[in-house]
Amino acid sequence: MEAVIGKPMDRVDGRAKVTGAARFSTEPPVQGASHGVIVQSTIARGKITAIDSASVERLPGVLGVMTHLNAPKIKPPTPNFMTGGIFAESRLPLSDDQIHHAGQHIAVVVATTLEQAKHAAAMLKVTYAAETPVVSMDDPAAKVVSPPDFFGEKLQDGRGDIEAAFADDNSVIFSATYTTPPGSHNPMEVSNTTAVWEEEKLTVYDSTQWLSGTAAVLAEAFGVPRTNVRVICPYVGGGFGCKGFIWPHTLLAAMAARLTGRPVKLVLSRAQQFTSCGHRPATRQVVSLAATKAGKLTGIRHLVDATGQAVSQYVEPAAMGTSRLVYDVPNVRFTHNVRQVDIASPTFMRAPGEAPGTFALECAMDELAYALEVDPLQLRLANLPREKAPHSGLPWSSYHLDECLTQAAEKFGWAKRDPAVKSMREGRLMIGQGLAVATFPGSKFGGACKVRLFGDGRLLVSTAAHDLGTGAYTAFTQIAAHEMGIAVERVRVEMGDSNLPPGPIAGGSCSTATVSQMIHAAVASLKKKLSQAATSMADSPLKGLKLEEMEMDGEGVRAKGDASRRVTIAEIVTNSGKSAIEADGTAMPGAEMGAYAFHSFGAQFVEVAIDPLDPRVQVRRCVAMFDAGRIVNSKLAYSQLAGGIVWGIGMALTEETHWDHRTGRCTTDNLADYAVAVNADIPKIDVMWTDKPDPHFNPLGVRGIGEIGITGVAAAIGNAVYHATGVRVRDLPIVPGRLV
Amino acid sequence: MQPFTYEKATDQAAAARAVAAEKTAKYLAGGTTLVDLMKLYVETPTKLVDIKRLPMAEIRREADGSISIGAGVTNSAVAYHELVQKEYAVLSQAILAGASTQIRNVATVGGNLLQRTRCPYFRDGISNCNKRTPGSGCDMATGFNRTAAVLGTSDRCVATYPGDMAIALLSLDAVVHVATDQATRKIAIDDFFLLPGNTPEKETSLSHGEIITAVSLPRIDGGTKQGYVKVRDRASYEFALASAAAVLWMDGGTITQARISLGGVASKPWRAKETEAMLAGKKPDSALFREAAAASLKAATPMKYNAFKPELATRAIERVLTELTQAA
Repeated sequence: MEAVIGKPMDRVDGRAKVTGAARFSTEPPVQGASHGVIVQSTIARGKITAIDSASVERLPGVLGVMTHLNAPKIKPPTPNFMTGGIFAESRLPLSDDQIHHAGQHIAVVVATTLEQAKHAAAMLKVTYAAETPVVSMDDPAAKVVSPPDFFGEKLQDGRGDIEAAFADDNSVIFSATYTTPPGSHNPMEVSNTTAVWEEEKLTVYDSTQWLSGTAAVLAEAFGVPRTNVRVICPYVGGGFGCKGFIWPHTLLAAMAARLTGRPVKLVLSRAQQFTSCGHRPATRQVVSLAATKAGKLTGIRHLVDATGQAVSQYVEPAAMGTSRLVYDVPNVRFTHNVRQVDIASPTFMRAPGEAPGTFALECAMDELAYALEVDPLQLRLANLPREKAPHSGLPWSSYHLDECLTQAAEKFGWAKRDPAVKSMREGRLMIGQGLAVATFPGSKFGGACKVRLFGDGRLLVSTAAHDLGTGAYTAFTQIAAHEMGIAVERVRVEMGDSNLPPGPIAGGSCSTATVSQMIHAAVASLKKKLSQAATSMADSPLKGLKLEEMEMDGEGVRAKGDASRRVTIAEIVTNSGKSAIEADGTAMPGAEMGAYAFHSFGAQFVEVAIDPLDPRVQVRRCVAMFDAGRIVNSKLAYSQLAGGIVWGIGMALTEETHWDHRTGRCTTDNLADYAVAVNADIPKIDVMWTDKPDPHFNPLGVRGIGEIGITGVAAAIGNAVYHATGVRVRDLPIVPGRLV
Repeated sequence: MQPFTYEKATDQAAAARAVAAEKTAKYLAGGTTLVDLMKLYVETPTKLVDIKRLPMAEIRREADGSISIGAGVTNSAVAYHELVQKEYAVLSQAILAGASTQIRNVATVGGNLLQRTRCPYFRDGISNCNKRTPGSGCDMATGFNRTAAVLGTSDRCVATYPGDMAIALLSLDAVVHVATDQATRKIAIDDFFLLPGNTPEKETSLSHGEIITAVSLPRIDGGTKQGYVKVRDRASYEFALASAAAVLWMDGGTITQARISLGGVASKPWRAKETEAMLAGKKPDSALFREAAAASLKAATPMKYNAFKPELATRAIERVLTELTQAA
């Protein structure tokens, strides 16, 4: 058997996707589905005083208008990350007349056709008692809260004696404030839900990163048994975090279906997407570094302020995956304050915390390098925590940042860089080169899968996990083929249905790390069952052999070292009297999580060119190398990591969600005003990886690669812009106007 | 969108009569602006008269040497037309710097002239906007005005004319041909667009029911150098923060005449007359370019978020002049 792990296998669902055979969740075969359109608040703070539903109910095709006055009552779901689900806000939709942000869902109009529903929704007259909203994080009226922790990790913490580190007269001190604007996920597929009630049974087609969480929240909200709720989502057109937790539109679709007694299909518009399912909040980060004159860090202080919402628990954890643990520093202090504003709730967005956090920390490191007159690469290499994880004190399970930095530097040609600012020119173009460290934790969740081996040798793997467009179907196919020792053509993976064994949320770069462990366990159990069945068959040539005296060869079970004594899969299945031999496998984070620190790191190098007469930053080259454990599919891995870098380029140069400071309304709620990078902005991206299996994380040694790609990119670009122009931009995005 | 009636025009006079007869009727050509704004309820016509099939889709050389471009010719067809590429390269460049291939394939010359502003407060259908709802106020002036105009604005409106094609047409002294069912007239492109003044809702000198039939480009005597520079947030598929179109006549190393116009910074396509005057009769020189470019931005009135625009526009002019004269 040729090794399948690491191979650049084409996507197993590629053909279905390009031919349209793949059915996304807006394309369910639902008979008689009506269309629900959300009406959003135009004020940011205050309350609704009147809604003229009656005049809209008379419009052609309208089947119902659901507001806080007539919406079915639902129960608040209990947040439960491991075995339940999490509704993203503490307030339930349409639960009262209060307005917390512009864009809040205040009604759903249901009609026979989409056009009728849209028009009726546009015609709905709403009267408000408006109050002055708090929009900016700088508004003194913004309530400031300092939550103690976030998903079990301390948000206000540190180590050593930070005051002493900064009081030392021999230290070089650098301090600066960095800001990152709000960002929006903008997956190609907008969020959508189609809800179908049959008596007390609910079927929901929902674009989600968390099938089992969605099912749990719906069951609890509507007070029906979990087994009465089925969530179906075989394909997702991108999530990036905005489809992780459960958002109001999912509940609203099911509520509207119950109210009108019809299936309701509800698809957010692109504009609604900006205020309906989270965004990366704005941050203001003060980073202070203390170092010896020789360039050894002695202190890092990282004070994070981020915007947040009173009805949301979300905190942008910008220092957690960055200043807390990237460098070997004895004295660290970090804080996270949330400044509550009357704008839509924020949420996780690709590398939450690390994306904005690395911009601040890694620009500050570059500024310190210039202050110390040392090479930015050498400054990093002189401060790596090679022995153990700085914050937890646990030994690294696997740590190869040195290799990432030095090999990427070699590939990039960093040694040829003239460190002086404004020193590199090509005619009128100013050239700059910058680097930054990439960082993302190795995490995993729990989950279960079922494997079934059929008599003809086909293997079916079933789990309620997800493919967000990342290639999970393909990666899991390779993993199952590898575990079973069979060709990938014989494996099929089915996902995207909450009736399957519960898989993990597709978030935190955890899917492959978790699912590979589930598959490993299930296949191990299956092999054991096959061996047991083989020995117990009548006239079995393997009779009397112990488990360890047999092996699988893909076609059957045989005696170790004696291929003449074998029982085929077909014989075992036939003999069982069933259509397949099946086994279950589960994975849960175990004792290893307390014994080792699991973390992925990487190095980002970029080159930019700036024409002073057209000062748009042109990224000319990206070279990156990541240490993210074993790589399952080199083609998919390149797409994921390079895709993350593309996101980083957008974050660095163009992306900003803006809310009007007076009204709190989003002024950039479309893809012209919220500018993601286009093809013409993207240069050649070289991506390398160490491909070193993590020895303690899971049997295959894989850590996730969904998010680390974006981290550090904005800092590397900012550092390159400084090198090119001598202008230090500490406020993203670096649009042309910042360079004149 | 607001329900509306739709009819296909079979001839120009009938189309003109059909629109003239109903105050809230509009012509539909490529629809790339109109339909977009109808979905936002910013445009709420009660009747659409589809003129896509009218015979206005030709580009031809006239007897006087000018070129006539039918109003229904798509932007792509103009940009890739041999005569345009050869003699009016600035127009081809400007069109190809705008929008995307898909949009350029359906957007027409007549419709593109009438492209409406991207001001977010105009487009949101809610905010105070004198252009959308006369007398309601201008939320852009004191709001997130990063994309707002700095030239030609008024107390009532600071919205930017967003297009690229018209900027090039202005530098070519194009003429807009319009008709009713009774009569025809010609309008110099600079007079076609109106400053916002006290009536920002009125953007052109077209009367209701008048139909744009063609745009003509006067013959260009002698060799010219032409170029279009567009500064924007990303490399493609983005509106201009500032753009400059230039047509230069040179005589042995001396600029005898210059026509320069600006986009992305003004309420309407903007002629950089001060720059033109300072260049005439001069030899190319980077200090002169800088000074001449800056002269056209002296009257700029930047606001909180668009203070960078005068400098960006100055550099756009410098760049186009530098590149055109270096290529000599």
